[in-house]
Amino acid sequence: MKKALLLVVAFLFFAAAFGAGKKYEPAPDFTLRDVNGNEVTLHDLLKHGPVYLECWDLPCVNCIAELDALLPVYDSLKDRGLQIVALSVDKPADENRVRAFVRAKKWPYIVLLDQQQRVKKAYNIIIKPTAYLINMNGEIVYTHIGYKKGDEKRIAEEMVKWLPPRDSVPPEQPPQEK
Amino acid sequence: MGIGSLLVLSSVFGASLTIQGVNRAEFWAYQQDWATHYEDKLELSARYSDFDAELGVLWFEPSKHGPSVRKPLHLLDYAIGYNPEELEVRLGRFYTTFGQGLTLSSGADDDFRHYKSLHGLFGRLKLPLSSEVTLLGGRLRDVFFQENTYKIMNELDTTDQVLGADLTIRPIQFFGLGTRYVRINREVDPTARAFTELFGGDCRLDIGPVSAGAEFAWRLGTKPGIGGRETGTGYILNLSTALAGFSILAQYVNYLRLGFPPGTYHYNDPPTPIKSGVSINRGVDEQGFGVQASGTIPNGLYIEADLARLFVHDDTSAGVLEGEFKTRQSLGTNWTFELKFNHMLQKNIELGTYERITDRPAILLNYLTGPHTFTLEAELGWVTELPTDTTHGSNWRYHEPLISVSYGLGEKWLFTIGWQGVDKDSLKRYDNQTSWPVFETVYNINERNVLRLRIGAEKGGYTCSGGVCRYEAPFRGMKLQLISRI
Repeated sequence: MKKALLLVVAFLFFAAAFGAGKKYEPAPDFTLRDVNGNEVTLHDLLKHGPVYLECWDLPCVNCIAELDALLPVYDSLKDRGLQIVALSVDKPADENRVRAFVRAKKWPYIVLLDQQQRVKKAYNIIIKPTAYLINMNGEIVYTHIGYKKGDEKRIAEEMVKWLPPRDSVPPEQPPQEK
Repeated sequence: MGIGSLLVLSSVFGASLTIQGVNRAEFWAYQQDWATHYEDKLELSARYSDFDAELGVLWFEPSKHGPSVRKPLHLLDYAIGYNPEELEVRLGRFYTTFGQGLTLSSGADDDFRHYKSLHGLFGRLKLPLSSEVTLLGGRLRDVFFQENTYKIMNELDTTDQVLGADLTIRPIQFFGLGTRYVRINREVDPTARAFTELFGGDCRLDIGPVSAGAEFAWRLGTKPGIGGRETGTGYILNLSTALAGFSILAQYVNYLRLGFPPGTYHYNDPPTPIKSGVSINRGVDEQGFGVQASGTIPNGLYIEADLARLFVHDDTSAGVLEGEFKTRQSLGTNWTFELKFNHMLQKNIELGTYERITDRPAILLNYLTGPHTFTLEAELGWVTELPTDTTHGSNWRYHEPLISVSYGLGEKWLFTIGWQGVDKDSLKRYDNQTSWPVFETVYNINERNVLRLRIGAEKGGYTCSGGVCRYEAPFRGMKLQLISRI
């Protein structure tokens, strides 16, 4: 165990010694199942447009309020390629509740099940809601932590910055929730 | 900006090395005796191409006045992983749950401060037909925050050996199957043959708006102390349907001697149908159902109704009954209203309480104007309680009001003033206290750091998450929390 720990520490120091900053950080790629059983991969989604990835779960009232508040934003920007991915970090035992809840809410978003919290961990999420705007180059260009009513205006401003220009060829249509 | 990577190293191969982390530092000062509590939870990870490494530190240092209550906890965890596209191999700490948790369940719950981790070797391989096989071998550690202190719930059993295998397959999109096996070799078992095995399986069918699923598990174990084989069984059935924005979910559970071991921690965690997460004994002897109907009707009105019941096999009067109705409506972009009514009956659930019935209407009102946000939350609980100790009467009726007002200024600040009370004294649950005023401010320093200051009192009480419950001791004093993304 001590050897393995030393290896981890050495790995961290190696990075510290040779690291160099970049303007934006790369978004970790992932593949997860959505609530309809389809496999969804981040790098496939990014071919269609930028992704707003929000971490939520059923007890998180502010997360649900944010996803509700983003509905008109999504409606106005989806044709330009915006995709909203609601990353559910509910436990495996709550999968059926999540599915029923999403259907009742009629969210048009891509709802992914991160039951083992692998993506939550890869993105270092500790506060819910936390959301990342990922541009088409796979870089995290904006982070939004927490939610208060009205935040959606600021989020929409950030989203617009990273959408393809209006006169460009529209991206291929992203997969839609059924 | 971004997820908080400390460093990014580009390589000639186009891969990059990323180091990132989260640190949660907390300092508590108790008003009563000026004792303190310092806690730091650091999670660091590094990723390069298909390799990753993790380092976790939990440093808990209370300053209580005697060694019996001053129980520091210092944990250092690591993991090394290799994750090419179809494979994941991990050495060190890992979390995984098989199926819905009837055979094996582990995970980290930061909100509830419950960290049930496995330590050993983990492998997962993706196969054709959307199938996946998982193999693991390790030891379990259950760290739980209870009565304002961290405890390793399985302190005497952390050397127990857990071996597991899980196979899931989804050959067609609307049909999936799973099968699993877990073997636990406990140090307390009297002979080498006295191990415990859990077998499980599940199936799932999605046809149009209808989803149906079933999971079962069978436990073959050893009777504690005396030896001899002991069996347990459990299953959970789910059915849900959704149409035109309305959905109905029905669940039925039946567990008998499945939760293992029947003490303060479990290797498995069979789900509870109770929405608020209450369970009776976490799969040792439980039977019940849950029904949830929800929908969004025109004008954006969201409504939800839940009804769930859980009881033990030999006494259907003991257990939990919960009913809840909730509605939420936004008016324009400025106003949001939420109304909720919760009814709960708990019989023989809490230590010292034979029966407790609560009726709890609540209202939440949110108003936004410019950069200013105002939130009002109010709740009144009507409680009828039959205590097991009748020194202060055998039938208590009292009220539990709650009110809180928040003001948010832009993205940076949030201020909250709140009060909770109870109009009955001599309640052991609340240390005989009756009033809990609190002031809290949250300052978003920047995208990487959030500071939270809370001064006043917290009521505590019996709380649950996903079937795991604990008694939270009341608190008076100051709490300072800094969450940093590294």
